[in-house]
Amino acid sequence: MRVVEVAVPPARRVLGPLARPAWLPAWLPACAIGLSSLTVLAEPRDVLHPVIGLMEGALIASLAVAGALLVEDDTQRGNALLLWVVGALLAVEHLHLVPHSPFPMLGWVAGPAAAVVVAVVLVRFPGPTLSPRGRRWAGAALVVLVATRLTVSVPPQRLRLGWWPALPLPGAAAEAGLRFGNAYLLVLACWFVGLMAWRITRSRGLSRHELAPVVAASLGATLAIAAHVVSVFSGQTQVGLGVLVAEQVGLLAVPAGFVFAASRMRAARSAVGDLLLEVRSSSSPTQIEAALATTLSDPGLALHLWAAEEELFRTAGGQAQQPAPGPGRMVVPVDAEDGSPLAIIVTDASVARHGQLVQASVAAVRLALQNAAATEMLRRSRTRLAEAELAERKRLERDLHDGVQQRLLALGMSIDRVVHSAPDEQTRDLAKAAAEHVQGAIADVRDLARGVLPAVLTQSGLAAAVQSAAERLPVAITSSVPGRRWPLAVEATAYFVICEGLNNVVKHAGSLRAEVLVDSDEHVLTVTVRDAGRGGANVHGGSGLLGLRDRVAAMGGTISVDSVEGAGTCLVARLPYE
Amino acid sequence: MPGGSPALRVAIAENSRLFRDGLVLQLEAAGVGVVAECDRADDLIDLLPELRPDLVLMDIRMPPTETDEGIRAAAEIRDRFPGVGILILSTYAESTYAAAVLAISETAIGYLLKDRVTDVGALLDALQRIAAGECVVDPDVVATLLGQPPRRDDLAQLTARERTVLHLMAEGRSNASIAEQLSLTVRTVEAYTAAIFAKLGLVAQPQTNRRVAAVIAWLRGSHTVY
Repeated sequence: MRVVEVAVPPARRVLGPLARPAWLPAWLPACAIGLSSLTVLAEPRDVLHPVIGLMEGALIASLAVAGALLVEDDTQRGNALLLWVVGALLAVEHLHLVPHSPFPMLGWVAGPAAAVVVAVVLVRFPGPTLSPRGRRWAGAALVVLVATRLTVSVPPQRLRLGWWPALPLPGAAAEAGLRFGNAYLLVLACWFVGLMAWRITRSRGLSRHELAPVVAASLGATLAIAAHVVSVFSGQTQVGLGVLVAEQVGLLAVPAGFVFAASRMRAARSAVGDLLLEVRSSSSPTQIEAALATTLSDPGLALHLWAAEEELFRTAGGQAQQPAPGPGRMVVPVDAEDGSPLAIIVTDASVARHGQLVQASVAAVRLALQNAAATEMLRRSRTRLAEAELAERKRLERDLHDGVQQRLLALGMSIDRVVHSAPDEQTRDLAKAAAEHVQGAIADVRDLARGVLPAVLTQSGLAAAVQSAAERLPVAITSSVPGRRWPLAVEATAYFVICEGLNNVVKHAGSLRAEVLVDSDEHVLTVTVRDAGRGGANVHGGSGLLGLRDRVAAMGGTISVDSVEGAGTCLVARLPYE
Repeated sequence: MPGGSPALRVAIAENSRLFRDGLVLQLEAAGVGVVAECDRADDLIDLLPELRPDLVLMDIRMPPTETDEGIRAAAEIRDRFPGVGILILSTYAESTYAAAVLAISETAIGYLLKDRVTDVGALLDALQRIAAGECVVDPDVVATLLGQPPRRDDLAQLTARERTVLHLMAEGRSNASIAEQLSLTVRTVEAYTAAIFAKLGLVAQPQTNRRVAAVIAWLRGSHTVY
């Protein structure tokens, strides 16, 4: 197993070309190359058909544009430069009829040289360099092509235009040399097609995404050149205009492919922006993982979260699992600012080349995970507070029941005995008055205990508690509550939501009827309190509803109030439970 | 104190020592014999074959679970010792518990708030009614169910006097008892009860005990609980 650990470059220019301060100079060489396309004018019309001349000029100009687009990416500077070199070589080629100058000779070799340089760019793109073996092959090809062009495969009429290092070969040998040169070109073209096909099958993810248009373009160009060579090879001296146009179209596909690839690279970089937006609004680990996979064009990407308390990694889905990156995969660590680990991303090793993109993605994931952790911490702390509050209510209710209530009852019984055994009327009357006060106190304490936490809720559940609450209100309440039990914290929250909702009906709705619906699936208890009264309430108005919202949020739930003026109020709370 | 009739013998299950001591004093003052007092319902049940009291008085919330031991014990006692009257004494004015108690049996059973024991006369009245085979439901529980103002249209169409009669019916009073309380003739009370049943759409229950459960169920019935 081979794991590639990449050193992610510092977060410089995370936003790519937009953040680059001086983009203008990059266009200067492009403009120069573009202008050099005017050299097509140096060729007479009977040598270069105007249509072909126009297309060749367009080819040089579009190579200039493709280079300008690529040069904005740090990793593509070399490739951009080489595309400009190709443009310059093609411009020089058009000067081949300028007599008594080096141009006839330079123009004769410029075309094959341009083909070799283009091949180098195509083979290494989107990488910035060739392998040493590739460099040797390219060098050899260039030397052989130029040497044969200069020495053996030279048309005789060219020799008259100026000095030439051509070998003094007899006519038949010169013809054979010319044929050899073309055959050599054809073999190279076939080999090149095979190489590009092999590359595209080997590439993955983002690289493949960028490579595909270039490979398609290079195949088109190669076929065009091959067609040209075959037509020359078959002995036709005058190549038809159609073949020439087809060849030019094929050649134009090369800069077009690079323009396309450059725009794909830009899109990939801007995808980090989408990633940031996506992970901000949806911070569950699986969603972060999916957004990251899209951004880095790697469907197999895996996000492993570091669970600090357990000291192990968990998958985005929550399973405890030691990350096992297979061959060709790399591990990108996501650490907090203080260096403590947050997560690791296991993705395709080819992504390593996109340092900025990886860096920006890591920053986005860090932000999302830290947000999620902070939210989780807040939620847990609120849940703890809510649980503590519930425990406190239980304790208080029990204390009232076991303590004050029993003591008041005992007091009431003692006073009752005084009433019955008092020797005189006055004492009896006083005792009766005291008995009434005690009765009142007992009723008050009972109501207080009910308000703290109704025993009927803890003992008999939500249905009985809702019934009991409904019996105490001066409105007719229709309720539908399943007789089952839920965790007490959920039942208590639902109960307080219902009580607050019903109290609001009594106080504000002006309605004599209300409806309570409780429904639940395996994970969520849904509470609805509805009336057909005045409406116009909202969850932000009134401390009661606001307190409810906090209570419900502490349980990880939501509460909403739908209240249109004159059309009643509908309070809905959703409480998740396990 | 009732003249002539033999003194009632009762057994108590109540885990609040303070309340139990007071209750024993109240009962003794009323001439009721306390044959046993226990902390827990199952201890009380163990003593029943031997003691055979006329009535048992029990709290709802007792050890070990501190939830509804009293109601479960009541069901067991009624099952095993049908001759023993049962009075549940509770701190909760909840119709849910009253209905649960009435669901156990239609005779010689009652649900009272502990408040009632601070009036020895009311306590004795309830004990005697249960001993005589009647049902007793605490007036506060009934009052809560009837609502003030009445929550239901069909309740609102009863006259004030009819509502009073309904209240006493729900407490478990017989027609004779209602007549006595309201200084009416039994015949008049019968006319009232017939009118009430007609207005509420209830099937008339000639038997006093039956109609307690029917009325309580009807009063609770506005709430669909499933």
